Amino acid sequence: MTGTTPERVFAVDGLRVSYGDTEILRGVDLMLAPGEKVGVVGESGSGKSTLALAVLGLLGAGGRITSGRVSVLGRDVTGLSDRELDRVRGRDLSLVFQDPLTSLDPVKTIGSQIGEALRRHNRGMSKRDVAKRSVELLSSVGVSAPERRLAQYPHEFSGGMRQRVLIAIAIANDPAVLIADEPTTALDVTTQAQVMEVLEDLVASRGISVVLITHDLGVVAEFCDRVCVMYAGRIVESAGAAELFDRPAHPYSRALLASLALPGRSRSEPLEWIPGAPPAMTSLPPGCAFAPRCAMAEPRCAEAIPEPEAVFAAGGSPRWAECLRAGEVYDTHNGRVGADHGA
Amino acid sequence: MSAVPTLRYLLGRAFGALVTLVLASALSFAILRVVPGDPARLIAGPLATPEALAALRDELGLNDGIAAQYVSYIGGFLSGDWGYSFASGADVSSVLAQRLPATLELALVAFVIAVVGAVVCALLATYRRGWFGTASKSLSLLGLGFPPFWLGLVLLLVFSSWLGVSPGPSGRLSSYLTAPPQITGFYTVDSLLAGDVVAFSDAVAHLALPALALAMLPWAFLTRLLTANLAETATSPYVVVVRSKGVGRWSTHVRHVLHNAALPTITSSGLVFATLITGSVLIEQVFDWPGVGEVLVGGIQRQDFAIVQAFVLLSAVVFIGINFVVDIVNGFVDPRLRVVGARSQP
Amino acid sequence: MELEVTEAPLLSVRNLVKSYAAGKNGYAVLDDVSFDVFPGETVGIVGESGCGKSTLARAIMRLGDVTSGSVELAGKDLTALRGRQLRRHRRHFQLVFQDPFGSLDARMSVRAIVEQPLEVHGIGTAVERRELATDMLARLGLGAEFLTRSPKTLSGGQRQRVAIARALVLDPQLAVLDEPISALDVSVQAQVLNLLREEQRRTGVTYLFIVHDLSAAEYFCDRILVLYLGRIVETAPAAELFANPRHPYTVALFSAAPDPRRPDRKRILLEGEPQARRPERGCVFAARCPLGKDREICRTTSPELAQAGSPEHQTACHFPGELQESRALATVVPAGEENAR
Repeated sequence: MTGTTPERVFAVDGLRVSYGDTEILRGVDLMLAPGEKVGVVGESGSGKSTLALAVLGLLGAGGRITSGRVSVLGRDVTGLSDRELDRVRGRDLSLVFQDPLTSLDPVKTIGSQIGEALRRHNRGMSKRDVAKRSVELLSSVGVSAPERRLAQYPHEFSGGMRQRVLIAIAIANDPAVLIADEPTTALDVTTQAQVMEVLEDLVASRGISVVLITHDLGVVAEFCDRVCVMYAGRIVESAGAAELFDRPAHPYSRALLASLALPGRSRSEPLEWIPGAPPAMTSLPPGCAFAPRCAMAEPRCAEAIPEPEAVFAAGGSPRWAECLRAGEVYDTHNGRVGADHGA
Repeated sequence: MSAVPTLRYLLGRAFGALVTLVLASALSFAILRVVPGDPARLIAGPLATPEALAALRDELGLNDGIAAQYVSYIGGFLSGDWGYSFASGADVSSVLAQRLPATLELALVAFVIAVVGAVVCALLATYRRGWFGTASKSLSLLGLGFPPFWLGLVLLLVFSSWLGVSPGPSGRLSSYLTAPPQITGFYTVDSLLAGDVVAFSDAVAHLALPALALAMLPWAFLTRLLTANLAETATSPYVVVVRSKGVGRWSTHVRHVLHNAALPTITSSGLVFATLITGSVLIEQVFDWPGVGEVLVGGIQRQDFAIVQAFVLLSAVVFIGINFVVDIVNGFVDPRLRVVGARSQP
Repeated sequence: MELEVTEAPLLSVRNLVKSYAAGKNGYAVLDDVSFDVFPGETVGIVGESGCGKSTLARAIMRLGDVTSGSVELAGKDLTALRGRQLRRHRRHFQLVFQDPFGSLDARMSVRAIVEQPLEVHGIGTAVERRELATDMLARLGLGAEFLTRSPKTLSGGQRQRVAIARALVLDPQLAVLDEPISALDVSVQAQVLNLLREEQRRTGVTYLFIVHDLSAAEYFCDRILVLYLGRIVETAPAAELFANPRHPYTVALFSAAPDPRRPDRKRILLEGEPQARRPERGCVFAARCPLGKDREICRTTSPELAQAGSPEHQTACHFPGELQESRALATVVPAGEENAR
């Protein structure tokens, strides 16, 4: 990495993304300090996967960034050409993609797919060095007999092993920032634990900053320092992981947490759930997108997107939530979720 | 697993090809035998006495059981005796040997034009949206609709009659030139081997229009197939992963997307090639091309059993041979096919 | 598996075996599975991919033949039923699929989908059927405005509620719920679980709940069976199982599940992955077991289900509770920090 470490290795400012006439991201702000692990949680359709593709400049046909900026290591990458971005992707910023079964090219060997990442950013690297480094990478993600496995194809690997290979590819060039989009969603619980362990280990030892995109609040709680809750293309609340799960300040975060069937929760009490369905991005209300489903909504909520409201935990750091009644939500929360029903 | 298909894979495929061949030849033999028509009558002529006909039938083996006839025919076929034309008395194997190279040369060149054209057009059409993609799409749609012989006539009209840049429908070589000494039987190759530049350029000029006319349909078919496959493959998650490594869009398109999209196209290409060899009859007629088409059409009209039988059998060999080659090629380009019964892990 | 109840079980599965192929290459997906489900109960079947839980659901639903064993529903052996008899009996046991997108016919209206099973089984008049379907849908929160819509226009949660209505409208004795919430968003999962439970209170239907989400299993089920490579390795009332797991696999499985309330609990990492080939002898879990890996008896002798703890708690392990007890003694290291070596 570069000698000077900027205060923010990764920053997204007011990012707006549209597919055709439909705005999917409506002004997203996100910031990562070196080595920080930030979770982006949201339900399907919240725009969290679009965020991953947008920051990598891989929106594909029809998608475009309409305003805002993404900077990596202090450098604005939104204005770069596709070719210039090719030098950033995989070197400063890399990706672990969601479904391990479809994220590797089925007709190329594992070795060639890892080697591709190495050669792309290390022109003139010898064949031997590529092989040697690939073996190191594979063993660092816990793949046994790496020499032999380099010559194998994806179909000869299990789901968990493929996800390890994807991690090896992503960290091949020691990136500053790793975008992990649902990295364990397709895996079994015990396999997920293995893969998260590998990921935790690697980012800690290499000081990689991580954006973990997921719908799984449990994974976020374990892995992340900070959590951003996403709803209808905006981050509606951001807080330290423990604080958010303790005391959410946005009604959506609170409702999401309340709807979890948390271990130890009393069986006699029905789970809370959020009425209605997430809004269609083609017809959003002018005000808060959550207002139509929100139990605390007032007429003024429908008027304009609320300014972020700061809430202060006693002795804690300031945090904010995009809600007119954030302070109230925060103050009235009855302590730790589910704690009062513990066994 | 090694990077090449295993011996077991190859043997398995070869055995499959052999079984198919035996079945196909037996079936075609049986079908031709039950078609009405009496070869003995054909040879002996309308005035022959019933006794003479019976004797001839006996001599030809037509009174034996169909299985026995098949066995004796195959035995002869394998030893190079393909029977003789009932109509002309000529040896079938020498007729075909004389005619086959012309058909093969035409089919091969048309095939190369079709495949290369399809790969280039499909790659460019899917790489950038724009006028090229639209043009390639419309042209391939038209190509599917044009009958090849009609296209041949149009090409002759434009390039030979109007523009005068191409020779007319005069076979493989202008009449004032002599054919190069036969080595491969392909005039283009043989003339080059003989160092005869004049004959070479003349052979190429004669080949160009019929090959183009013949290539149009398979080009259109393969272009549409490959374009659709490329467009679908381009949306695969692994394409995003490859791009996220910093690999450029074009490299990704060629190295990963094309490789995967080509897999289903390879099988179709093999079949296309086989139909080119066996289906160029009309084009040969239009360009006066001295291929097997003419004798085959004649053979069918005259119920000249031996010619048709040999041709059908050869076609079966060609189809099955090409399928075998396709299987091997698939084994090379798709690692998942190499192990028989290989199962992707959950 | 004798319970201290006088009531007869509604569902009684005995020595169920399902194997593919035979001889040396044959392998069992379900190996000697026996359990009872009592009327009005919710029994959860928990396990990872390859454990055979979907095969078990299919076997109980008679959607595939079994190799041996029996499945009795209210005293009637389902495995012996054939043809028309089986079709007529199907109204008593219904299945809700995992995929709310693939399991509904897009050309039918919501009401027609729910009326159809009534029609098939010849229940009521057309007017009565319409009323039954409408009431059923209304109880699941799908009011009049949904009746004429196509499933295409519904959200995932709404479709799943239609699928549940279709299964429960027949008033079955048993409903097999095959991962009914795993394709849904968290906030919608809660609603579906609530509605399922309300229906159970109303009709007394018995649920067999196939699930991989452990916290949903704990919340929703009365009793849980843990399956590993085709064998029941542990069974207990839900609360007891989560409080005091005895089988090393159960302990490891629970420790691996992320829990937003306890982010710093220590995970037990197993080697390898759950979709392994069954060993020829010994305990199915031995190869990955932190206890049994090097113990002779685990490698050679397959443990039978035996009482561990309360009478309703059974586990198939030679060393029940050992892993759980050794964990309790170990210092708890936060999950995030143990890696910063």
